[in-house]
Amino acid sequence: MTAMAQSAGANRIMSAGRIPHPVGDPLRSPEEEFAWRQGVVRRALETLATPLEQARVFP
Amino acid sequence: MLKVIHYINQFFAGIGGEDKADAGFEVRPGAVGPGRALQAALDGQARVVLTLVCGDNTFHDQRTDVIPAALSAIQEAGADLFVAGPAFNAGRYGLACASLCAAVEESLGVPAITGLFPENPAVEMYRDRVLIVPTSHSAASMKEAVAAIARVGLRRASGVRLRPAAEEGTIPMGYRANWVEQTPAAVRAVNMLLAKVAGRPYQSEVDLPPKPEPVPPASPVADLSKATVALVTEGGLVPVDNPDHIESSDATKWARYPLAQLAAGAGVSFQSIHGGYDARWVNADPNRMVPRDAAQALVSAGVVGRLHEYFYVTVGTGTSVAHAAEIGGGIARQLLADGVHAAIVTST
Repeated sequence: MTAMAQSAGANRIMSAGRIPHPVGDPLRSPEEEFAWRQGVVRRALETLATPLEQARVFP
Repeated sequence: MLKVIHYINQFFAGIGGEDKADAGFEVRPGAVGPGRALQAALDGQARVVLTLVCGDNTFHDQRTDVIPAALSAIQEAGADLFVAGPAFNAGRYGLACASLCAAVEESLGVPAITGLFPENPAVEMYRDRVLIVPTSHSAASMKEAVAAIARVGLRRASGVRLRPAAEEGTIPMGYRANWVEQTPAAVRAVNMLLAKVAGRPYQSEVDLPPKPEPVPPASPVADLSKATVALVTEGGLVPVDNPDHIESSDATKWARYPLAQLAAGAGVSFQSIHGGYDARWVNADPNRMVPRDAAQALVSAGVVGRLHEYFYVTVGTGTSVAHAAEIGGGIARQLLADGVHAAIVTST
């Protein structure tokens, strides 16, 4: 769905989980899911602190 | 012979310019001013029986009187077609023409048509309700504009189903009509591809909306450890009774709820009312849509300064770009007013 975010004009775009649970992963144990989510949010925060000239999809 | 009623403003009726914009509404027999060119272009198939005239200021100042007066004149005359303008790029005149056409179509069921410059503000306001022929910006092209209005207007009045706007030479009204095509879709697609490869012109059958203007990226957060970050989602996560009545599809609203209410044991149940994804995993754990627990842990760890006390929510499915832009603008203004530095927006 990152292509859709890009076509809508978003600038800081990041892929995360799946469409019905972008910051969740029900296949993991609750502890592992929480750790994984913390990693996703940490990446998002780093994205917010990254200087940008134009739209970018962050890995 | 079909009966046509024509609307023009005080300028085209020969009353005068801006100094006569308060001229009153009147009904004149036969064709007046550009109505004569219209009459010629109708080529014996229709006759301009009446001309309605109104000053541009009068129309807008007294529209609640002028529109009903125009409607009753049109109804009394038993018109088969109503033509307004063309108004080219004239602001008040264009709005008068478009709003009269809408009223005539919607109140009387009489076919109506006008001609406007595509960037006339009335086009954006009425294109989905009114049949509009594109014109140049000035009356220098009156002859061409009137010819186009007569051509499309006669087709419309004859009761045939109009073909797509690109074929008719009209401004797209933004809806799709079903047609039986003799050539199957696969053949049409291959023909289109062959034309594309060969560099020949071809016409897509699906109009894509224009690309949005690029938005310059916001400056990066200078110091995360001092920043206030908000959590925002289009995932439709709301208290179970959906107190703000956010729509499940094509939302027009957004709301914000205290982030603390998302914590287990806060006594408030949330669920997703989003109509575009299977919500069972989010309903089981709202952190999968609004990552409150993880973000809170990163605050405790000193990675980020603090979390804004509310999370923001709308529904992003079937949403028009216009509504989405309005919702985004509303949320952004609230975040700025509350001193938020950055937002993480989760999207389904």
